[in-house]
Amino acid sequence: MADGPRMTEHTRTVLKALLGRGTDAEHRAAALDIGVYGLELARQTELPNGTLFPVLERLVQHGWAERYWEKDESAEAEGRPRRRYYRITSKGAELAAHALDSQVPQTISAARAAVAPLRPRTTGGAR
Amino acid sequence: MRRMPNRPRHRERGAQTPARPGEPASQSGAAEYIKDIEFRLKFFGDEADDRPLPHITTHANTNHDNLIMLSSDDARAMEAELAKISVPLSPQPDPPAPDIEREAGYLRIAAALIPRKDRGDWLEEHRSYLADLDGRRERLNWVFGVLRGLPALVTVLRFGPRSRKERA
Repeated sequence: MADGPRMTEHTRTVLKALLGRGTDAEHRAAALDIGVYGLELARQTELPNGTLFPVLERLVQHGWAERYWEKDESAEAEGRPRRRYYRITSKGAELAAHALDSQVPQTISAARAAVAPLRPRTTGGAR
Repeated sequence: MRRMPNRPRHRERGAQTPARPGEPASQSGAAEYIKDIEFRLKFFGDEADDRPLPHITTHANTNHDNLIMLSSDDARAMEAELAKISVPLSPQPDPPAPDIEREAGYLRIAAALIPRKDRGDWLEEHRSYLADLDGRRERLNWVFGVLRGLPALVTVLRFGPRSRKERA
């Protein structure tokens, strides 16, 4: 995964939201086509915004996601500031799907959690 | 002359004939009259604004259906009458936009850390989030979250997406 972002739990959560996983077909198509508004993304992922935006920035810099401003007219029609949408790129969609489906732990904490049940339990300590 | 569809049921049950414009009307007659005008407005839709309102007369055709035949008699009187009872059709004014200037001020100060090329977009983006959040408490929480995540964001913006260890 040298070309992609580090696959932390937060990154996986954000990628799932950008791919529209866990939603119905209509929302999934909208997420892939239109993208997701940043605030909506924060609500969907339930990540603190201080965590979410650095993750999004990394994804954008790796070329896995892109962001764009909505058209001025639609914002003006509703009398609010224009919104910025985040959308997964075709490269990101391909690589993210692969990364999300692989069960290989990508972080130390995830690896520890994966092997913890396999470790023999030790009782007592050195005397 | 223009033919209208059958009138609402309340007219066919032999209810009181609505009073003509300018004539004194009983209370129930006035209510009936208002219903008539509402019905006509519904029928004409937007045209009702432009055309003189015709007076209504009723006729029975060979099938004994009550048909409404409209003529342009008393148009001005009807318009004057309509003006008295007209309901403003303009949409309700939008609720005032939330005052986000205070919270946006905190962000402006924090934005000093963001590289200049990204600063404007970053500020505008977060202003839009503030505008979409409901209460002041929520907005302040948002600002607080942004401030907590700012070091990580600035690091990514200034040094790229890779961590120091990955860069080495």
